[in-house]
Amino acid sequence: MENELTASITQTGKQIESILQKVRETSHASSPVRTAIFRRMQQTATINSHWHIAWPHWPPGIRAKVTAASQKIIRRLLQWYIDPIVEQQNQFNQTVVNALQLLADDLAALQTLCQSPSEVQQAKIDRLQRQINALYRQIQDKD
Amino acid sequence: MRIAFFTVLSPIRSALADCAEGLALAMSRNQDITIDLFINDDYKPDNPQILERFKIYTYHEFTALADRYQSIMYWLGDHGRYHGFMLDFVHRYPGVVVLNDLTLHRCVMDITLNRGNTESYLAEMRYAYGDVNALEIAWRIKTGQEGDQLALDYPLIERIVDSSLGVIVHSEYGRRKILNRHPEVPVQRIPYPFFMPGQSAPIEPEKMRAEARASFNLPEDTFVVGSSGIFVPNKHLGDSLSAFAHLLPRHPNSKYILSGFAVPEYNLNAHIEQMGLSDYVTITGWQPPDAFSRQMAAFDVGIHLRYPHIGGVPYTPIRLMGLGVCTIVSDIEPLAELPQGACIKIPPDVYQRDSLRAILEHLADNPDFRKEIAHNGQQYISQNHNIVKIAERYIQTLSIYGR
Repeated sequence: MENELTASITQTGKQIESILQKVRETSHASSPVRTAIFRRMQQTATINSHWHIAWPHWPPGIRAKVTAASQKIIRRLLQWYIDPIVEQQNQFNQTVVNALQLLADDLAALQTLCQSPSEVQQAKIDRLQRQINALYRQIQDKD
Repeated sequence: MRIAFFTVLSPIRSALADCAEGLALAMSRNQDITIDLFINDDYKPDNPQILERFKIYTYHEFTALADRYQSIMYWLGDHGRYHGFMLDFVHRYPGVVVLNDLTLHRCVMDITLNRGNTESYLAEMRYAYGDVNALEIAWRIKTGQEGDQLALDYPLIERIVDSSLGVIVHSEYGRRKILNRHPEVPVQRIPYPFFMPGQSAPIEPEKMRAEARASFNLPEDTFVVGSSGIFVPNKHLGDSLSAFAHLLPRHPNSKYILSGFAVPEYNLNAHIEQMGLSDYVTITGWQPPDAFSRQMAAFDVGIHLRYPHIGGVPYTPIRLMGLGVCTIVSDIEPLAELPQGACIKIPPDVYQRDSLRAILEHLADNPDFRKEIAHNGQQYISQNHNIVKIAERYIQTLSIYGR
């Protein structure tokens, strides 16, 4: 039974690899550079309203410590105003990233469509070809 | 043999809690061992089977009880709140550590740096890596700039492994990674066990599938794709949903079930709406482990992508495959043991999106092929992730590397 399982796994594994290989050969997937750009865009799309002050330790000197403490207080007092703005910006950023990804997908699909005819178009081409061949034979027979 | 098992339990929302409970129950069926559980003090466990079977203590109580145990097992993961309490005990009471993730950097950061204890964090970094710019690394991990990769490059498991009597990991990749830096430490690879929470009788996949589909009001001919767990960006749901959307013109009755919930910073709902998939996608939200697991049986295809990773073996694919669901995973090192053909492994590269589309289309168009992969996966899990055998391996390892 183990042999049967191994054989079945090997067989289906080969079929899967064949599908993946075909994708690599025919895909209009993004170049590595474009993919890297998309990944970087995704990583930087979310902005953080919380910048660390005096982290992981307080700066040296009394003046610097007083400044840091004041900044912490001001940040806390303005949180109610800043956070909603940041949230709006994050929503916009994510929407743009998603829209760009969808556009890239559509572009890839269009590229594929332009390269090879659809099934319907191919069927038309084949039918027309057969008609041409039949007409050509008729002409030859008459000659 | 009496075992102290430092772990996380339900209601903690973690696959590690789910898995630990299943493992503990399986191990406890061995008549020659007794297991006591030690947990954090900030929650009350709520699994009736666990409450009935085990004595459960908070970690504070361990010191007074330590002498009664022949072996200690630490169920570790890279989450400070869930696993941080164990780290001190790992050094004071050496035992066998189970590294569910191959990095504990964030866990260590949580219990040191993030609590104002900079010196302890710097000491750990110096011990492990010598003179590196530790705070710069911490900042980059904290702010997510290549965070996962950096956390893997600086895993901060060195002192933990050095203190341990033995290490258990779940992949050969993990075993090699540990041995590369610690060739003298006994490291065992023991796979995750397959089980269904709250169920001891043999599983009937067809019956579970029918019940799960009925719970979602799904007719039998609906093609159902599913993903489960906590949804974060590195699970690439965008690509999965895009592949699903591509199917719809030819399979308009298809549905996508997202069994779980998204983290707050990941606006998954907006993404689904933007793609125009709101009528086709259901997000279930958090479910208790038994309901969550049963829902997976409704899927014709389960998708579980994960990249980048932090070295751990994802548990969800094991469960999906064990349930007889045709499963698609990322072709990553921790999943190298799963053969192509028992599941479908897609490389996380520039072709990922197109590969997913092609594969999903093929699976939707070819139910026999899909069922063959599902059958292969179920048989593979039955042979290699049998909970009874795995529980015995844990017991053996603990008896060999006990105190």
